[in-house]
Formats: sequence, C-alpha cells, structure tokens
Amino acid sequence: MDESAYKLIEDKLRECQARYKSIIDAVTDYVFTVYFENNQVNQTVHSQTCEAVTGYEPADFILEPYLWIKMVVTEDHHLIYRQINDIKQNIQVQPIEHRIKRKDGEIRWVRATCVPAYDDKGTLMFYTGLIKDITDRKMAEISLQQLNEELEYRVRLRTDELAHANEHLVTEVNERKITEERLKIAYNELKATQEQLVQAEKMQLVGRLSSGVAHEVKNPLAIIIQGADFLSKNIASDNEQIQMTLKCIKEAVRRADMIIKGLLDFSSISAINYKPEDINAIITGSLNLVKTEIEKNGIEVIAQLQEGLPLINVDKNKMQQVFINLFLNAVQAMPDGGKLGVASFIEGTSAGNTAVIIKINDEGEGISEEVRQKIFEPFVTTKRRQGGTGIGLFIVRNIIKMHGADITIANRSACRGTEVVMRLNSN
Amino acid sequence: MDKKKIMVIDDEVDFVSLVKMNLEQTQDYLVLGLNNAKDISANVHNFKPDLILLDLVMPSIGGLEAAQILNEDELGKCIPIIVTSALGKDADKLKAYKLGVVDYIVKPVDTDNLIAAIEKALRYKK
Repeated sequence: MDESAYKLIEDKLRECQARYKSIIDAVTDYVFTVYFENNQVNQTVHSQTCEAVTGYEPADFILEPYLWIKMVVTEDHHLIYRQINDIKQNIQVQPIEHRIKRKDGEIRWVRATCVPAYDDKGTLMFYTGLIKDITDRKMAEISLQQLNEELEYRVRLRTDELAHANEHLVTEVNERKITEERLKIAYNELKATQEQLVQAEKMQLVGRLSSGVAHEVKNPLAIIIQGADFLSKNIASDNEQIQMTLKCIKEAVRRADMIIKGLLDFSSISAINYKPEDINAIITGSLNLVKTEIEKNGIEVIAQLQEGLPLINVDKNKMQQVFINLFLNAVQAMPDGGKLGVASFIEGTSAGNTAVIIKINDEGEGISEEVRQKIFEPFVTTKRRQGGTGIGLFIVRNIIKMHGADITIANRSACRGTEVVMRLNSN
Repeated sequence: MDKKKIMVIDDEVDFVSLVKMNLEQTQDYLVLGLNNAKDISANVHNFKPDLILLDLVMPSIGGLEAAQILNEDELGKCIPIIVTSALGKDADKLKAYKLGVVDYIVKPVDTDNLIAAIEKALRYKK
C-alpha cells in the first residue's frame, strides 16, 4: 500500500472515530468497554457521558482499574460476576439491572446491556456495555410495588375484616331468626291469651247484664202466666178462640222463659274451672246423660274414641254442657232416627304442638250456607217452632273460645247431615 | 173441709193479686196477700197461715231475712215456706234451703204447678 492510500484510510478511520465519539458523547447513557487478556480483565474504557451517570470522569476509571466494579453496590456484585462468566462461556447474556454508588454517594439504578467480542478461537477479547440510568423507572417500580403490597395488605386486611363481619352477620341473622321465631310464638300466645281475656271480660259483662235482665223479666212473666191461668178458668171453656189465645200466651211465656234460662246459662260461663281431664270420659258421660233422648228417637251411636289421649285442661261441667248441646242438636236433626257419630283423635299442628280433634256428625238434613255462616250468633235457630231459642250454639262457641279452642260446623261431604269439628290444644 | 190458709208475700202487687185469685177460686184456699215482709211476725200471728209463699228480692226486708225472722218465732218456725223467686241460681236456692224452706220455685210458675207444690208441702206438714 502506498503512503497516500494509507493516509486516506487513516483519515477515514479518524473521521469515523470522531463521528463515533460525537454520538457517544451526545447520549446521556454511556458506553464502556471491558478488555480481557488471558481471560482476565485488563482495561476498561468509559465514554465521556459516564460522568452524568456515575459522577466519575473517564480518567478516574483509568487511574483506578477496578473502579467499575467497586462502584457497584456490594449486594449486586453477584449479578455482575454471573454476567461476566456467561460472557466468558459465550452464553447469550440478557441485560441486568443493578445499583451503583455514585461518586457523591448517591445510589442509582442502572441497566447494563453487554455485547461481547471474541477472536477466531472463540476467546473473549472484550465486551462493550451500554449503561442506562433507570433510577426513576426503578423508583417508580419500587413505589408501585410498595403501593401494590400495601394495597394487597389492605385488601387482605379488609377481606379478613369482611369475612369476620360476614361470619358475625350470619351468626346475627341466625340469632335474629331464632329470636323472631320465639317472638312470633310468644306473640301468638299473647294474642290468644288476650282474646281469651277479652272474651272472658265480655262474657262477664253479658253475664252481669243477663242476671239483672233475667230477674226483671221473670217477674212480669210470672204475672202473665198467673193472669192467663185465671182467665182460662173464668172464661167459658167452649170459646175456643179465647182458649187458644190463652194457650198461645202461656206458650210465649214458656219460650221467653227458655231464652232467659239460656242467658243465665251463658252468664255462668265466665266462671270456668280448668283441670286436666280425660276428654273421652267427658264425651261418654255426656252421651249417658242424653241416652233417653237418643233411644227415644231410635238413634244409633257410633263412637270411635282414640285411647290414650293426653289429658286436656278444661272445665268438665262446661265441656259436658257443650257435648250435651251438640248431641241433642244431632238427635233433633234426625226425628226419624239415624246414626250419631262421635270420634276423638290426636293430631299434630303446624306449630309443632298436638291437638285433640273431636268430630260429631249426624244424618239429618244439614244446614244452608246462610244459616251456617251465622249459626254461632245468638238467637239464630232453625227450630223456632220446636221451641229452639238459638242460645245453645252461641253458648257452645263461647265455652270453646274460652278454652282457646276452635269449633266449626259444616255439611258432611260424603253423605247428608252436618259435622261439628272441635280442635282442643293439648299443650 | 177447712180451707188452707196461704200467706203470699211478694213486692209484685199484680202477682200477689193473681195468685190470690187463682188459689181462692179453687175453693180450697184462703189467701192473705202482702207486698212486703215488714210486719211478718205480727201478720203470721194474726193470720196463722198453713203455708207461706215468699219472694226473695223485696225492698226493706228480703225473703231470706223474713225466713230468718220466722225461724226465731215459735209459731213462725212451724209454718212451711215455699220460695217463689225470679232468682234461679243454685247459690240462691242453697241459701234458702239452709234456712229451712221446703221448696223453691223459680218464676214464672203456672197455677197447676204452684198448687202441686203447695199440696206437697202441706202433706209434709201433716
């Protein structure tokens, strides 16, 4: 090669180096090169911009050959050594991120990307690295991570709190449900007791009024009947119309007297004496008391009384009054004979209690819906001509109510006749 | 046959009058009707009844008090008393029976039943 050509190449090389230096100096990141000899670090060269990142000038690295590793934070040395080892072994290396301690003592985060150069034999000659200051990003990442961790901690804490609160809520809801159920039962009991008390009070009032009215009405009735007796003995017996009139007067007095007796019976209901009683024994006893009426009307009694029924708190006399009333109604409903059915049995209720059910049925004509709806009202009767006063079922219903029990009357579905159903609470 | 003397004591004036009329027209009874029991001892001594029909609820002296007065009287305690009252409770009847009355009739009562009760009481007296 002649001298001019050599000079041309040298100029070109100088020009390239100048352009390279101007580019390197222009970037804030900096480039360094680590040279090797016999597989050991021999020299490091750092670009001019290294001062911006490290605080050290390129000359400092020349004066202090191990400054490049010394400025790396001790805890991160292993990252550097691993990267160098990988380079030496010709393993493709990934950029690493580590901390350096600047000349002024400040710790900065950097990202090192290395490109190695090997000779023909594969021996490492040098590698060039690009150091980029990533402190801001790293700080943001760390802050983000801290925030994330804090957030996770808060979420975990809140989740725990919510789980605890939920558990507490479930317990509270269950307790409330139990309390509500208890309250409901207590309320129903209270309501039933209140109804019984109101009923008792009403009946006491009616009773007091009835006693007074009875006395005031019975005296004039006594005068009427004595008057009618006198007239019937002193008027010509062949005057049929007058005799008939007197008979009607006496019959009317008898009916009025029956109504008064009914009211007096009613007034005596308020004094109830509860005792545990065998309801079947009361039914049987009542049947015996109306035996004559039953036999006289050719009626057959079909009794199906379940054995071993629990004792029930009732007033025996009052319940006997109820049964006699219902049996006589059934007998009167079958003037040409028939079957009188009486059944008792125990039944569970929806509230978990048990009730004793009593059914009384006849084979009479039954009752119209209109009568059925008001059958328990006072003075409602279908037997006015037979001397019925309409007090009997009124008294029956009130006695049953005072026992906190139910009574219904309906026509039988399977055959003709009516059926009375009573439901007495056995608790 | 001597007529039996019946004393009727009741504050219901019309009742007393009608009972008197009904009993006397049978020709078997002589009736003294009184509307109160104020002078019962004196009246009993004057009239000397074979039987007394006595109401319970009367102003001033009630039937029970009157029966008590008669029980303390030598003549009065020998005269059978039938209570005729509008009160019909067992407790009322019991109080009367405890004072020695022979019968208790709840008003209203017709003449036939009243006479039957009187005859029964008079038979016991014999």
